[in-house]
Amino acid sequence: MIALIIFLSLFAGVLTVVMVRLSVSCVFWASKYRHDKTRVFKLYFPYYIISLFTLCIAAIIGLDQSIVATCYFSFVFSLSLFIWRYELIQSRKIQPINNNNNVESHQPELP
Amino acid sequence: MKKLILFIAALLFSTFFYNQTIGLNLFLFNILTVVILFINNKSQFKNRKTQIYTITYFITGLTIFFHSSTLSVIANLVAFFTLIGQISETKSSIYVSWLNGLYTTIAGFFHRNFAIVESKTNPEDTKEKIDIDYLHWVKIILIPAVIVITFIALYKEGNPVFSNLIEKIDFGFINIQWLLMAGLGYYLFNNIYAPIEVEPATEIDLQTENSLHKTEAFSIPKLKQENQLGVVLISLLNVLIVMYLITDITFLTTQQDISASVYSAQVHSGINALIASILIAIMILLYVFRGNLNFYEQNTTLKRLAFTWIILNILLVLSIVFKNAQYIYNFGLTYKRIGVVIYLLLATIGLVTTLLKINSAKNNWFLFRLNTQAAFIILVVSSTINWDYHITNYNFNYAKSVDYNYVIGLSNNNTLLLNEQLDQKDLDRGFTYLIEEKYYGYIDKLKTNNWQELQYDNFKINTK
Repeated sequence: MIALIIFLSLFAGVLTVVMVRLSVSCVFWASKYRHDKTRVFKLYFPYYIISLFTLCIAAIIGLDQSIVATCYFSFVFSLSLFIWRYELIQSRKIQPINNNNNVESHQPELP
Repeated sequence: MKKLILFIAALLFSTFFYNQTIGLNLFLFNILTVVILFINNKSQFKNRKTQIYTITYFITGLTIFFHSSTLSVIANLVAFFTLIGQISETKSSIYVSWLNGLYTTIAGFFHRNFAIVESKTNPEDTKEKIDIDYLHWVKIILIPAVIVITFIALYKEGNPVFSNLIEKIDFGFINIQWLLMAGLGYYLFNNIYAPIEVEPATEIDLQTENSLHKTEAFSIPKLKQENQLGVVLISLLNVLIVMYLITDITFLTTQQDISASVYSAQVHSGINALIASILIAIMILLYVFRGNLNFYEQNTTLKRLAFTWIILNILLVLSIVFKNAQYIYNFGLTYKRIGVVIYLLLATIGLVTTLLKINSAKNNWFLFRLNTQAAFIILVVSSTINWDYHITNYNFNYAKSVDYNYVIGLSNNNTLLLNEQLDQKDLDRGFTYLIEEKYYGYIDKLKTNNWQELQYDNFKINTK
């Protein structure tokens, strides 16, 4: 029984991570400035997070504010924040590398 | 220092709200919020608009102390978002303030955190700010904790005196849910202490003017045709509305006593149709005066016709008010009937602002800004009224007939009044029983209220 509960929780957790990750990726894919992640963050993150927060609150209220629902949707909300954070940190790590490449391409005679 | 203030605020937040219903605690939370906002944003509080919104926020909080209702809680929440949004950008429109306030409340800390990460890319800043090594902290806390717990378990087995001593330690006073609530409070205050803005929306709002300007597509022959179409259309609509008003006045002055159900059906269908007609009227006017026609020199007739139509629509609103008032007098006051009055008030404001827009060649944003502001004022004002009390008072003392089940089914805000009515009116036994049951239940609830849940009625029953 415990194994089943653990398996189901893990399955639900993995499914949630995939869903939230996909939803964040969709925002980047749908944007014109998909390579400029900071810009996408500034343009779309507020609306994304407000919509997600509204959905989570609606779901918690709809499920009679049960502890399980509150914990689950708090997890979903925090997870989305972490995924956005990860996306932005990744973009900042890539940016300096790109800049270095640009310098090299414009200065081919450099040692 | 800032973190200490936020920490104290979080503890207070949990003290106010953990396991409590709404009462005095929401007003105390309002004070706490304003104190935290003031400490971190002193310059914004010099702005007059910010001061007005702060007072509005306090008023809505006090309203909940005097009569807790869903409407007053909603008004308090909206006032909270408005104040935070106003502090984030003092020159923005109210609807952008709502957006900024909501965004700050949900993800202010996260957004600011990224702003800090961005600034870290500057070499000057990197010298000042040192990265916190979270992994190191986790190691410092977690590893010794695990080892100490293991040793405690081992020593417990070896020495009965030590075992008794350990078993006497009681951590029952630590309430996980209380701590989680404090965590939520910390997150909330950490979000709001320095309000942020949704940049694209705020920038667009600040750049958008209220006035209309002549565009390059200004063409007199085209505008002449548009003007003619507008004159014909609005003239016909004016004739139609005059005819309607004449027949309506005739109906109102000649009607005899009709049955309640027929009257109810007539008022409901009539009001719904008229509500739709007023909205369409505003939309037609917005369409006709959407652009260059405002700057066409020979548009005087069209403007006069539009003003006449607006005034006639206001007369239409007045006729609905009259019908609704009659209905209320005959069948009592209810929330739906109050809703109709509030809708009509909003429609009148909409019509007057449309008139102002046409007269001073303003754009639709002007209309939207003014009307959202008006809607906010109406929300705040209507939240300060104890509707349940007034509905009960009116129905018992002025209405021709009373729906007792409806009145008893209202919230506890009318309970004390209902109990007073028991002494004054000779009521049916069933209703008397229901009122007494409601009254004693409410008194019990008031007596068991903690200091956080205190309401004005607590003081009322104590003075009796």
